[in-house]
Amino acid sequence: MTLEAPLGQTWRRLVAALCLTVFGGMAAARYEWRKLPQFLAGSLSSGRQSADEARAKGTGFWFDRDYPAFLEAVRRATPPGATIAVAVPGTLDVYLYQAVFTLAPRRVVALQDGVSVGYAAYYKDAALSQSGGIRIASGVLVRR
Amino acid sequence: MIGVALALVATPLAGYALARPAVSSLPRSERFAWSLAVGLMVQALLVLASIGARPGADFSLALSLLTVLLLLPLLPRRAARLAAPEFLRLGPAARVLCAPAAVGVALFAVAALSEPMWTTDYLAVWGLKAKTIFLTASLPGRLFHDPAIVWSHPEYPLLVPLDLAALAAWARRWDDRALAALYPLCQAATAAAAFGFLVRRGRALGGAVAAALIGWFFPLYDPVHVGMADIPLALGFVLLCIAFLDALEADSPAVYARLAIASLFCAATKPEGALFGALAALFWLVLRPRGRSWSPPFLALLLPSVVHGVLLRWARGSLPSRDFDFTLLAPSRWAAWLGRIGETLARITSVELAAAALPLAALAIFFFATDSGLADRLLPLLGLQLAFYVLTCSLSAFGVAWLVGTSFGRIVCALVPALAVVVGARLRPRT
Repeated sequence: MTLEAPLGQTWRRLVAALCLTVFGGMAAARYEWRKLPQFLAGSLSSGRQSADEARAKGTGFWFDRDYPAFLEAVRRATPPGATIAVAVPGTLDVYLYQAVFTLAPRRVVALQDGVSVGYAAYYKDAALSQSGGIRIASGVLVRR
Repeated sequence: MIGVALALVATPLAGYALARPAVSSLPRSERFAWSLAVGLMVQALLVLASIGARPGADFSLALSLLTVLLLLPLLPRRAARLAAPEFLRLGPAARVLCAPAAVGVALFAVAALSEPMWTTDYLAVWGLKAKTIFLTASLPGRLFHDPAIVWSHPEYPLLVPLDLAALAAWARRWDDRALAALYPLCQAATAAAAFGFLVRRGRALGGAVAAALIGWFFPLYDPVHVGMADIPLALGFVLLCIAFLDALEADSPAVYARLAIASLFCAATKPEGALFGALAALFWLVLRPRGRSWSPPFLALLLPSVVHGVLLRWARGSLPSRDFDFTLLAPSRWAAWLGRIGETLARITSVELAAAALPLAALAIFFFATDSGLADRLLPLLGLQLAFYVLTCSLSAFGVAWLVGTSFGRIVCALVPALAVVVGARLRPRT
């Protein structure tokens, strides 16, 4: 079924063009235009900071700006083959996802699952009850 | 960044070196898209071969050298390359519309490269696997069987993680921002594939419109989707669709090879890619022209994904998906499943469709205002894929609302570039 009967060829072309403009315009509106200067600045600054620095300041750690320094300290203090239990706030899954990704290739488990692990890393509140271990940024690292 | 840039130049070239017999008759833009798809699969295979030969050893040099070896056969063919086929010349409107497509890709590139990849699915699924493969120079069994990371979709195919690991190997370090360059390149290839195909079929204006729609389709080409598999999958969908349309028209080994390439690329990228290949195989049986044998295209569509699935299962064992409750498929639970389907449809209608009502209405009016096109035969295939997405959401083990909210819109968006081919094909030149 088409609009051929009521509309001529030119009108049909105009309607089609208008529809595509609406569709394309709505899709284009999903771009975060307000962030364009930020995107440009971010793209151009890629050579000025290390990948780790950029990650720490990026959107990935929106939920907690202290967390990247903690993970970096754990990373520096543990060998790549280690298994680490992390005690992080359970309110957001992304705490665990960031720990698993940032510390890769180390094996990372949630503290309650880490019965026989080489290290336990306690972040912020969880670190307060720890008397032993090494003090690291915003937390404590315990070798078991 | 230089290493990644080199990789992204070498990858399509290596792909072209291998796929040349199947793609040399195509327009340059389409050749680029096919070459990138093949190149990405080759890079993944080379990573597997390198880490398989010397697990734990740095595979950067081996990967680069093997890729350069693949490029060698291209050198004596330079003269032949210059004699590539001529296609329809672009009219002024089509030329003007090509510029927005390029601007759209550039806008996405700026957004994608502005910061290291960060989305939850990148951290928990694709990036985690890729980083682990790169840093251990191996494919550790725990990526598939560790209960601590059971949420990382161990059942997913590995093309994207292996390609990210390959890019990191070229760069000789893990740089989440530089690796993001893969995604605008996939977008560019998707637009180029749609454009090249439609130009080849005498729809230069339609090709430019399709490319512009893909370039500016920011619901898919969004920084939130960088680091995931949906953007490469959209490329696979477009390649499979245009190869399918070619198969309906022509009967040649090159067409069958392109069908097989697209099917393998889709299956190796995401599970819904394998589904799309299987549905396309079934549609071939229904739509094939009279007098044409059913078997070559059917097998080209189905065999790659079957072989890929068997090899994955052989390598890592059976890995059931925890996201789905397949017990709903048992006859005793069909009533409950029907209820879930209704709930899924209600959720999609009230949330997803409502949010996209205006563009969908515009698209519907466009279809009424234009005559049928050469790519309309894709509509039932795309529609059936969509129907399977609805059924899949109804099987969610964590509730329908969760799966619809987290995935439905994104996976549907990955089908839109293929739909842009249908739209472009309806734009006939002025007579």
